[in-house]
Amino acid sequence: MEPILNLAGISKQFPGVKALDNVDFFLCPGEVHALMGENGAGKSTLINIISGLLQPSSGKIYLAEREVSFGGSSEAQKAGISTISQEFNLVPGLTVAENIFLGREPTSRSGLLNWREIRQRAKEVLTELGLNVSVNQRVEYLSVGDRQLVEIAKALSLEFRIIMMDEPTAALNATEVGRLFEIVQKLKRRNKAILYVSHRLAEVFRIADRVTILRDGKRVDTRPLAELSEDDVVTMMLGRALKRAAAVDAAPASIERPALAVEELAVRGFLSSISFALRFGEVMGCAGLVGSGRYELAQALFGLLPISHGRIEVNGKRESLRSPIVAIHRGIYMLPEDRKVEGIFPDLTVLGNVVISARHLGSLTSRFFIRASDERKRYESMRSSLDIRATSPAQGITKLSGGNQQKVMIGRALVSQSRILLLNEPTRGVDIKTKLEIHSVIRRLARERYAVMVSSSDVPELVSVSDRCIVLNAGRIAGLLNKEQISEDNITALAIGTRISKNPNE
Amino acid sequence: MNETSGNRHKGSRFPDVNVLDFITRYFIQSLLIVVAVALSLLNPYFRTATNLQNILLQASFSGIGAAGMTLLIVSGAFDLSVAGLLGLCGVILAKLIPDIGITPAIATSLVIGFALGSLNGLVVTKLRIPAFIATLGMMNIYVALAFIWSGGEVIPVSEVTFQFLGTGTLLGVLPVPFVIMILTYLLCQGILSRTLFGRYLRAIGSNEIAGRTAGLPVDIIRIIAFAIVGSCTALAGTFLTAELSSANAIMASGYELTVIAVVVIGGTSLKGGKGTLFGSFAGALFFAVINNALNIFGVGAYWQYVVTGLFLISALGVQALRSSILTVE
Amino acid sequence: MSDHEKELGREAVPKLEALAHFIQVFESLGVLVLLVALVVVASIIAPGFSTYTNIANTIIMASITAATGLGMTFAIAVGGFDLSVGSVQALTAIVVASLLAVASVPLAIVGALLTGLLLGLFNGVIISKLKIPAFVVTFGMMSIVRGVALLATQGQSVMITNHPDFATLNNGKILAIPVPFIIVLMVLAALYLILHHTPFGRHTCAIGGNRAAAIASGINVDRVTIAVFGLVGVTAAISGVMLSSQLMIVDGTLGTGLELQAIAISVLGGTSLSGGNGNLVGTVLAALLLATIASALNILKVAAFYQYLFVGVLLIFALSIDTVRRIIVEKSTLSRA
Repeated sequence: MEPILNLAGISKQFPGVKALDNVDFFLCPGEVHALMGENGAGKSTLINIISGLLQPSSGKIYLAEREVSFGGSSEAQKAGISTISQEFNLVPGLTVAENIFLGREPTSRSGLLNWREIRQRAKEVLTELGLNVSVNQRVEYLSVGDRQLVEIAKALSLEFRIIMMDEPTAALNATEVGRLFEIVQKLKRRNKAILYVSHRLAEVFRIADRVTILRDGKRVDTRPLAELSEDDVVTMMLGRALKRAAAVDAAPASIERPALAVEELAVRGFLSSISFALRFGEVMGCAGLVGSGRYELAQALFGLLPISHGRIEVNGKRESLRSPIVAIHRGIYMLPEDRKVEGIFPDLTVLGNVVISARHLGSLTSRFFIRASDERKRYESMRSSLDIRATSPAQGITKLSGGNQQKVMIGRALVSQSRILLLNEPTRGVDIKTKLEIHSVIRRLARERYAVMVSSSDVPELVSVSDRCIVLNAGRIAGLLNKEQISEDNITALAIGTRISKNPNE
Repeated sequence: MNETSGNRHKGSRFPDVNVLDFITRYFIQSLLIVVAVALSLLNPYFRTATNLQNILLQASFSGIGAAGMTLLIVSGAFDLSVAGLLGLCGVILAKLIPDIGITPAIATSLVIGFALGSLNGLVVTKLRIPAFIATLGMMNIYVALAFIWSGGEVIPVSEVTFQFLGTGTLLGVLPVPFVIMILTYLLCQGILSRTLFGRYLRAIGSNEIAGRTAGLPVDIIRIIAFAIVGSCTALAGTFLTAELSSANAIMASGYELTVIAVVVIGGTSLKGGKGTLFGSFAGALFFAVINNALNIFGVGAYWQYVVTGLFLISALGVQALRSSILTVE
Repeated sequence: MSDHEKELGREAVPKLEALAHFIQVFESLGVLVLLVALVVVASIIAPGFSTYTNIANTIIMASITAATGLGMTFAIAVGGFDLSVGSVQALTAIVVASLLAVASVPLAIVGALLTGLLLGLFNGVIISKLKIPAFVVTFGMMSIVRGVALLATQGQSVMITNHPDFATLNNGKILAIPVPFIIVLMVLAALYLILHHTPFGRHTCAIGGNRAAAIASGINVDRVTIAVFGLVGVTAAISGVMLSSQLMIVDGTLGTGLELQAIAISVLGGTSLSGGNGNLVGTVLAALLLATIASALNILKVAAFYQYLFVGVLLIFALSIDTVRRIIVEKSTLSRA
């Protein structure tokens, strides 16, 4: 079968990192082609290039044998490429039928909407997908799985030739996954080319015909799934020459009260039966795929999400963490996942961003007025201990590189004088050198008797810094790994849902 | 503030953006001086001491309110109820003076301004209604209350000492309200740049979500900002009442427009996160100069409406264009 | 559903969905029920309320506000507000009054409507091309247009003397229904058709409901926005024409506070501030509600300023309910990863 999409020698260079390195890729009609790889392997970049959101630095794209270049996502859409994204492009207040035909509604001669045609065609498409929902139902009342299917229906009715799905099952329950897979089969029969990105091994083996594995921006291999076993795929993803984890300083076992003790914690819709203890002087890793509830756990521990069940004990005392202010009061601080959205104050200086969470105890004047010399001292100590590269404390924060901005965020956490730190994606968007610096900072914090939880999608990172590691899967703890058991294979296996190997370091 | 040279960042499209930035940063101040000088040369009456004093006097009414409004806008919110709030506080003041004396009456009026501002803040934060529309509704309530309290009439104030506040001068030259305006701006500038609260205002205006994640008491900060606006407005109302020797419910009709226009043309961005009190100060003077000029040249008072609105929209347009020019990609 | 999913609380979605649905239905019916209840109460406690004349006058009062309210509902649906409608009403009233001195009635009305349209389109252009929030732009325009209205009349009034029959636009009755209300019903029908049965109307709701999705679907957001604000301008002009026909003497101070009333009746009528939808029928019902209360208070000799107070409190109340509604919708979409 001739490929409908062909990528030849695609490379994408970002400042400081080569996201894709000479990648060849193709999609055939009537075939499900899975794309797998660790985080940072380049999957998202590849999808973004195909969907027109990004331009390749070099290489060519051929659509139906003709060379193309997409100036933006709408151009790619017009060419017949659709992306089913995590953020659904549906209008909640409109009905299913209205959403499917949004922007190209059929009208009668008078200019009014031709409801009969709209409803009929919408019904056709829905029936074909096996979606048992009224076309007049407002999208806002549909479940997540149903909404996703409406989005697929929309792509279908637009006669897309290529459909790309990025972690489509992240938010679905088992029944909905089954239904999605039936629909994917139908799409195959309609000769659509489907690009399926997922971490979930079992699902990929169930639904895909072919798999391409990326690692560090390079294509490792492209093979029909019939020729491979699960272990083969995981091996290709992780690679033979795996950088072995640096020797982890053994933090002395602590016999004191745990810093944070969580028992049967549940957050409605995200987590259930979470129990673990975080001790002072240790780094606890928290692993899990998209949708496993990792971030929601941190948010719940920081008072940003309400708890529907269970108890939290801080320093042995039962606490109700109703808000971040309360959490900080109890000595807990959280580093948010996305510093651009939830962390950085773009209009403040570097100094302002570092000291914003400082607790001001003591005299009235110190709680009210800015003590410039105090602040400068605090900033200096953070700057030197974290090696923040800024020309001066008064520099605008947006002028700093991503790595330095992240260091500022960590500095902010330390300035708050909280001893329990919840670090989320601590090295996201950070260059390699800074990443290593941050890792050594995390280890140092453990030595200094902080209690640190590092929640990350970067498995090697977790291996590198953790003393122990919990792995979440679909809102539950899939496993708790002790020092000896921590390895990329074990973490990945638990996160994906396959069984853990007896000998972790083979 | 100054861009450090030698930083090879992703360069901006305009290499001399520093100069452009500087000019637009002190735009209103430069414009003010240019216009004032031009008018002084064009019209002999304009440059008389009486007239200049009058300009300073007129500037102070909107200027004092604009100080508080600047802080609120920096925090990312607006208050459209200030006209009603001023009228209400003025009426209460005028009615209380004969009964409890000047100073207690002024104090009460300020406290009520603070309380009403806090009420605005509560409605916005606790009821989660968008600020501009919540305060629009509160405006109605305040004006109505002012009408009710005043019986729809003008309440005269005859105490001479009080009238001095509006009509007298200090150091022989500066009108009292203008001196208070200077003090208010100094106070607000101090709050904004030297207190933690001021930094928190800028923080939540810059990124409210980050503010919550950083453990800032966002709601309380907002409420206090609204309360400051209320107090400044009540303060302005005190002097307006003194100048008019009377108070009535609609004595500050259109006040919210003038105050917001002053802040915007002063250079404070409506998006929040940063602001310039110096700019608002100059903006208040600028509008006073323009209105004064319109009067002198015999142009009808109605032009003020048009002019104020035009300046507001133009200033917003300039801000919008400026942020798209200075956006670095 | 598996036990695990039950634990995660996925069944919460149907409960919240039912609640949101209930509130929606409650709103549409609620205003009607409230209106009927209020009319009954008013008839009892306010002697003279239920006379034909009074009810007709109440309906006429409601119509003038309702016309603009319908336009405002459209603006809220697209995700914006128009604070200049009061000033536009004044200016268009002056335009029609002035034109009546030299032209025929139809021409004068067309002139006024055109004025409203142009002002609205101008708003729309500034909002979409300069990307400045709607409420600030219309806030500034509110002042500019008011100034123009006052300047044009030099603060004086304009009397309509040439066409005394112009007043029938206000006083006339068709089948015992006051003409202004018939006009409102026609506007309602037209706007309802546009909002629910044309692509333009659906696009309006899409932009207000999920702007990114609208853009991704190829909708020309700028064009739709400009058209919507043009529409608002026209409805404000309709109100202006109706008002001038009622007063037969207009000046530049008319219409103060109209924007607030228009927003209040839209929200009260069930249109959510978050945009994406518009309850046009609800707006008209809410206008009648407001007019009924005003009329009853008038009869009871309650001072005008209490009514003013009441509108403000009512708006805050309506907005609070909207907040509750928005929170429920947020929570029901929360249970997705």
